[in-house]
Amino acid sequence: MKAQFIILLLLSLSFNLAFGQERNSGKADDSFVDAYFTTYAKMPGYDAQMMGEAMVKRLNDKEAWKHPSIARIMKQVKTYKNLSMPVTPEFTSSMLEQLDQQVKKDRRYDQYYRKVTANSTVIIYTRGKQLIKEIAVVSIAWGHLTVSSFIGDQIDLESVRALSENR
Amino acid sequence: MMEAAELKRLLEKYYAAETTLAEERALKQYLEQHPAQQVSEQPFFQAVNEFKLLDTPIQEFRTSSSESRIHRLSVWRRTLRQVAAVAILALTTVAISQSYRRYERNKAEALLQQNVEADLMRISNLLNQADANLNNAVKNAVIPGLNN
Amino acid sequence: MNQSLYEKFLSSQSKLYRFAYSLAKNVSDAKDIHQDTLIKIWEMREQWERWENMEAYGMRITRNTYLNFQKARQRRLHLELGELTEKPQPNEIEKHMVIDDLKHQFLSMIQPLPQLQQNILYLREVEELEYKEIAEILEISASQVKVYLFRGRQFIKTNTQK
Repeated sequence: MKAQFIILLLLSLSFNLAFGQERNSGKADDSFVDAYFTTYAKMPGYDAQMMGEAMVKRLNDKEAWKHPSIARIMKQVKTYKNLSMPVTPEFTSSMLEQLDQQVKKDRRYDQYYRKVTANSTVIIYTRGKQLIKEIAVVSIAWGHLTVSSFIGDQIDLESVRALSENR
Repeated sequence: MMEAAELKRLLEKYYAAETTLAEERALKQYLEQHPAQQVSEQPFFQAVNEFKLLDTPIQEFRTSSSESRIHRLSVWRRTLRQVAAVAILALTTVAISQSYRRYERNKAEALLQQNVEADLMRISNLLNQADANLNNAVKNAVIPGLNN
Repeated sequence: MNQSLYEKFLSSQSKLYRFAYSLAKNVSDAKDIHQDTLIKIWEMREQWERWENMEAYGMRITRNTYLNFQKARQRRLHLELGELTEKPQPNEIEKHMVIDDLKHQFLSMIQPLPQLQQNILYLREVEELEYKEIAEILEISASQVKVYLFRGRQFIKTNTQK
């Protein structure tokens, strides 16, 4: 009985090591960009940049945002990351397939909205159930991929939605 | 109705950059009027037409509806030139102060900031689209049900 | 000053703004470029009578203003980026623009092309200009215009038929 218990314990530990690591390949605070797109960093034209907490704060303090509604939303945001790179149709389909699988397995992100047309795909992801901690958008159109992510403690989706009505 | 062969020939000529402007206009007009043709070029031509409708925010140089009288009244011409000169002066002042402010700001921040603003606006538009599509889907699913 | 030339100056505004927007790909830069262009054209008003085609000339000034604007931005970036670890490129905004709005989709479609091909496609497809006029605006030969237009359209063909 004891031996069986030890075997079960070892099995459970090895399971956690094998799958737990993959699930948490990034840190908890990582963005959508870090979680799923750093593997493409060596691809030609890959270009990522980040607006850190200090820069967001400085722009907030300077009241630099061009619209009061944007300023309100940016008070809820800590960091912003984005990347862009040219993509081929073949790469796009395999990348999307892989992304879908990873997001499903990872379970940190929920697909909030997906729009697919003949020439473009746009997907919005959110992280957090009660409080939205991140909004990420993946766009592929006419041979170009962009991924952007806004990270905060509590991002109000309704404020973001209302933005284009209030401008 | 343009024959399929003729349409194909014209499209080939278009891609070879051999068409005249008149032929290109005729081709675009024909495809616009016959969406059922479903050629793959339609999204591009549609995008070209949509771009022609881009709003022009500059209004300062526009004259009023009394434009036709300008030819007859030289005093109007002078006034109009003066108005234009004042407008240009105002524009220059705005341009100088804007460029000075821009220069003062870190340009790298400005570029990132514009990305942030554009992305937020884009997400906002998409969330609105999502709501609208969902409402339509619910309407289509519920209303026929009610009618039954 | 000839009244009809003055009216041409007024009426060419929207075209010049649209061209500035197609180059800058964002409203605030397009407005700045457009304003600078109008001021330059106005300052040259004594020469208007000698210009064969005011619109084409205005477009050429718009493009040169845009190129100077880009150069100045690049210079400032080099000066100011010392403190930043990640270095954004001057055409960053252009690269990040994947435009969902149908009105701006044209720019999105031609975005992967080199700048000159984008300009030629814009001037031919949107403004419907002859090769000679495009050549005059972009200060290249008409045969070059044709070659670049061919390449641009081939790109559109490949991307619309996928």
